Amino acid sequence: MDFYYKNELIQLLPQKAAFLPTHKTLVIADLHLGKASHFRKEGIMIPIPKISPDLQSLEMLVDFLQPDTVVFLGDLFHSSLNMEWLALKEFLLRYPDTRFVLTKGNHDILPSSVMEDTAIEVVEEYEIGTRLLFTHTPLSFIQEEKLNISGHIHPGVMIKTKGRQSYRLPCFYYHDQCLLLPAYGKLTGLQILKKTSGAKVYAVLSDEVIELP
Amino acid sequence: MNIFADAWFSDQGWTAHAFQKKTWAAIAKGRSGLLNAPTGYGKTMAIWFGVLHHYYIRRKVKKVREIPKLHCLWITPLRALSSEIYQATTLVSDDLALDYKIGLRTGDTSAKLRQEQKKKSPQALITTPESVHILLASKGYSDYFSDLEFVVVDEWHELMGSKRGVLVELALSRLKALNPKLKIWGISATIGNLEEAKVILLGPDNKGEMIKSTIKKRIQIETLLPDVLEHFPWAGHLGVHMAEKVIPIIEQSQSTLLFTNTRSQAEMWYRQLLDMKPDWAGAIALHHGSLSNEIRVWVEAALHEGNLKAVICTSSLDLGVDFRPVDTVVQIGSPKGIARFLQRAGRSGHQPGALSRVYFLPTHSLEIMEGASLKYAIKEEMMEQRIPYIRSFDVLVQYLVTLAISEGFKAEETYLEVKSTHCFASISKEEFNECLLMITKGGRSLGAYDEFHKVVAEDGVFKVTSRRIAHRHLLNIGTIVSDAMMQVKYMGGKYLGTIEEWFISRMKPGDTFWFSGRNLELIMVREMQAIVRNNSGKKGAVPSWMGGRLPLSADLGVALRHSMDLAHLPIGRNNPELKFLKPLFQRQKEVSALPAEGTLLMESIQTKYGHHLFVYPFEGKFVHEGMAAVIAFRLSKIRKATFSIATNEYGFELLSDSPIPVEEALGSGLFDTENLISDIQLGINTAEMARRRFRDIASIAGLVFQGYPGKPIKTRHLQANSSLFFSVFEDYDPGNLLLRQAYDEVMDFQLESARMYSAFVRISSHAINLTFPERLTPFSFPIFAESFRERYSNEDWQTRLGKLKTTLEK
Repeated sequence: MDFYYKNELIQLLPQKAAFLPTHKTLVIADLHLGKASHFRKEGIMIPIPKISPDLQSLEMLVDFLQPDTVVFLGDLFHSSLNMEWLALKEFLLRYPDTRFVLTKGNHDILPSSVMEDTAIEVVEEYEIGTRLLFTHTPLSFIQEEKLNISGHIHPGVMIKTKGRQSYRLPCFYYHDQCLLLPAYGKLTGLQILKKTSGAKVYAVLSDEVIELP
Repeated sequence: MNIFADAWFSDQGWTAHAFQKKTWAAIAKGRSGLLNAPTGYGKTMAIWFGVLHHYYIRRKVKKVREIPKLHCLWITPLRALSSEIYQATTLVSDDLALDYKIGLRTGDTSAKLRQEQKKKSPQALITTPESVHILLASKGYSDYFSDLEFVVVDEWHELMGSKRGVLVELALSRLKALNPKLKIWGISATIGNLEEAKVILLGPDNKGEMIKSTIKKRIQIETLLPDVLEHFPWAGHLGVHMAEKVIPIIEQSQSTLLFTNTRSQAEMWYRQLLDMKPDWAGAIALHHGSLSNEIRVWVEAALHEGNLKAVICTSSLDLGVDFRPVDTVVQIGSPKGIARFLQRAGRSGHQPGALSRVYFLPTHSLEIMEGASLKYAIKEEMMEQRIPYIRSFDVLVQYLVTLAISEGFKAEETYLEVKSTHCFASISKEEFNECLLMITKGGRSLGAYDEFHKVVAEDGVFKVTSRRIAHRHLLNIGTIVSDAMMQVKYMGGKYLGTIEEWFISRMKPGDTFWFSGRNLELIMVREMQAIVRNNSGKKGAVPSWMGGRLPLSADLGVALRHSMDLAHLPIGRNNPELKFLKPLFQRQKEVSALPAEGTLLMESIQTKYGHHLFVYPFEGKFVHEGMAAVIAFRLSKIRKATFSIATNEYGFELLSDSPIPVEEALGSGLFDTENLISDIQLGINTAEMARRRFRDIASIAGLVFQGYPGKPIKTRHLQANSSLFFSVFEDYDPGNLLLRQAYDEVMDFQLESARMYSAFVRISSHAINLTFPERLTPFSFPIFAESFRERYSNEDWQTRLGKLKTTLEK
C-alpha cells in the first residue's frame, strides 16, 4: 500500500513494517526482542524456538528490500540483557554495509556500553530531509509540514461486518501529521483504536494492507 | 456420649438431633466421614463437639505435657463463613471455660497475627483452601502440622466443583502423609452425587461414614408475576421494572435477602429500591464480592442484629452463614440450578422447624416458566451433581512450586501422594515428570542458551532458591483468577472495594459511576487506585464485572421441558405461571409453533441482519453453544459459510449473511448421533474456546502474574496476555500438558460433551417442527437480543479475510 505525505512515498508493508524507497530506508517499530528470554529468566515458562522468528522474518525482509538504512522505532529489546541479544548482534554483523538507527523507547533500558558494542546508532529522534521525523512515542506537537512516524502504541483495529462478525487486525494509523506503525514483534499485543474523523486506517490482512473506508 | 456436648446443650436448653449424636459417636470411634444436613440445625456443633471430646480424651490418656500444637484444621470456602465458625466455636470454649484456643486465618488476617499463630499455634485454625497452601509454602510447616488430628472441610459440595477443591485434595494428600491417622470430615449440602463427594474427600481407601440428617426443611415458593403480560419484556436480565412487586414483601417481612446473579445487577437494584423508597436509606444494604471487607463485615453484623430491612446480595451470601432475623428470600432472575435455589431459599427461616419463604422474581417473560419448573423439580427431589475437576495440571504445577519454596520435595514421594488424590488418580509418571520439567527447565526448551530459573534440584530435593520468585509465587497462590482490579478509594484513603481495570480505563476524571450503592465521581487514577468522591447526582455508569455466567443445570433443563409440555394441556389453577403465560404461548403458536415433548422446534427467519435459524432444545447455555457449533459445522459441509452464534438457556441462533440450507441439512441427518464425536472435534473451534480457558490455567500455573488486589506490584515488564502465551505454546510446544488441559476443560466443562451427547441422542429420536415465521417470535427474540456472541466459521482465515477485502473494496 502506497502512502504519500506531500511528495514523500511511504510503502506500508503487510510484514508490519514501512519502507521508504526514495531513501532506501526500512522502518520497524516495537520489535520487543528478548521478551521470551526475559520471561524465562524470571521463571515464567514460555517456549521459544532456537532462532527468533522475528529476527528470521526481519532477515528475509532486509534481504529482499536491500535497504541502506534500517530505523528501529524504539522498544527494540524488551528488557535487560539476555541471550537473545547475542542473536541480534549476530544478525547485525551479517549486514556490515547497512546503517542501523534506534530511536530510543521506554523498553530500551540496556546500558549505553552494551549498545555501543553494536553498529546501532541510538538517538532520541531521527530525521530524513525536512519532512520526516521518526520517534518512538508519537509527538504531541509537530511542526507544520512535517510527518511524525512513530511506534509505541501497537495500533490495532476492530472491523465489524454483516452477520455480526468481527476481526481484530494490526494496522497503520494516520491522523494529524502522525503515522503510527504496527508493532513488528510476534510477542506483542494490540491496542484497538477507534477511527476518529480525518484519520486514515490501513489494516494488515496477512498478505496485504488495505485502507479502511 | 459426649460430656462437652451434654453440658453445653443442656445449658442452652437444647436437645441434640439424632444426626449430631451419630456424628459424635463416629468421631469418638476415630472415623472419618461426610455429614449432610440442612443449614441452621447445628451441623457445625455436630462436628465440633466430636473434635473437642477427642482432644481432651487424648490429653487425659497421654498426659501430654508439651505445648499443644495444632489439633484441628477447619477449611471453609468463604471468609464470612470462617468468621461465623470462629465466633460459634470460640463461644463454646468460653462457655465451658476450655483452654482449647481457636484461631482465624484468611486473606484479611494481619501479618502480625499470622506470625503469632505460627509461633504459638492455636488448637484449631479456621481458614480457607488458599491459606492452607500458603501455610504449606512456609518453612517449618511439617512441624506445625505434626500433631494434626482433624481436617474439617465445610461446604465441601461448593469447593468440590471448582479448582479450589483440587487445592483441598492436594493439601490433604500432604497432610495425610504427615499424619497417617488423620481424620477427615466433610460437611455438604444435598447434591446428586453425595457418595462420590465422600470418596473424593476421604480417599478411596477410607470408607468413612455417611451421616445424613432426616430433617426436611419446609419451603414455600411463590413466583412474582407482573400485572400485565403485554408490558413485560421478552428479553432482559435486570428485572428492575418489577421492583414495585418487591416493596410490599420487604415491608411485610422482618428481614429480606434479595439475591441477584451479578454484582452490577445488585448495584442497580439497590439504587432502584432507594429511588422508590428514599426513606429506606440506612435500612437496606448492598453486599457483593467486590465490596471492601469492612463494608461486608458491617452488613453481615447488621443482618445478625436484625438492623436491616433488606440486603441486596449476590452469591457472596449463598453459603453457610446463618442470619436468624432473615425470614424472606427473593431470587431475582433465574437461579440456573435447583440446588442453588434451595440453598438460597435456605437462607431464610433458620429457626428449626421454621418455614423458608422464597419468592422467585422473573426478569423476562419466558423466565416466568422457570418458577413452575423449580416447584416441580423440588417436589420431585431432583438435584444436580457437582462435577469434580480432574487432571488440573495448572494447580499441580502451582502446588509443586509451593512445596519447593518451603521445605522442598522429593519427586518420588510427592508423585505417590499426588497420585492418591481423585484429581490426579490417572497421572502417569511421564506426565508428572513433565510438570517437573516445566518448573525446573521451563518445559521442553529448544533454546541454545537458556537461562530459565525457577525450581532447582539439590540432592534430589526440589527447591526454589530465588527469593524474588518465592515472593511472587506466594502472591499468586490460589485458583481464583480475576481481571486486573483497581481499588476504589476516597481521597481520605477510605477503601470501598475493587472494580475491573477496563471499566475505569474507559472513564475520564469527572465522570460518575455507581458503586457500593453510592454515586461516585472519579477524581483521578493513581497507579492501581481510582480516587473518587461522593456525588449528589443521579446519573452514572454501572460497572460490570466479567465473572463467568452460569449455565442452566441439566436437571433444571429437564424440569423446564416438563413445564413446556404442560403448556399444551389445559392449564389448571395450581399452575399460576403457565396460566399467566398463556397469551404469550398463544402468540408463539400463531406465528410459529410451541415446543412439545418428542418434537424439536426450529424457526427459519430472515431479517435485515441476515438469515437466522433458531433451535430450542432447552438444554442450557453451554450445551447450546456446543450444539450450535456442531450444527453450524454440519450446515457448512453443505455450503461453506460463516455463522455468528447466540445462545441462551432455552435455545440457540445461527446467523449467516447467506441463506441457510436447513431443509437440505435435515434430510441428511442434521441431528444424527453418528459421527457426533468427530463432528464436535472437527466442527467446534475448540482452539478459540481453549484460548479463553487458557487464561485461568496460565494464571494458576504462574505464567501470567496477577498480583493481588490491593497489592499492585510493578511487573509490567513481565506482563503478556495469556492469549499470546497460548499462541506461542500452540506454535512451539503443542504437546504441552497445560495446553492440552485447556482443550480437556473445554470438552468437560465448556461443552459439557457428555451432556451434549445425551442431548443429541434425545433429539435424534424427535420429530422436527421447522417453521418460517415472518418476523422474530416471542421465543426467538430473547436469543436474538443476547449481546454476547460467538463466531463459527469453517472458512479459513485467508478466505474470510478475502471476503472482508471484497466488502471493504466495494
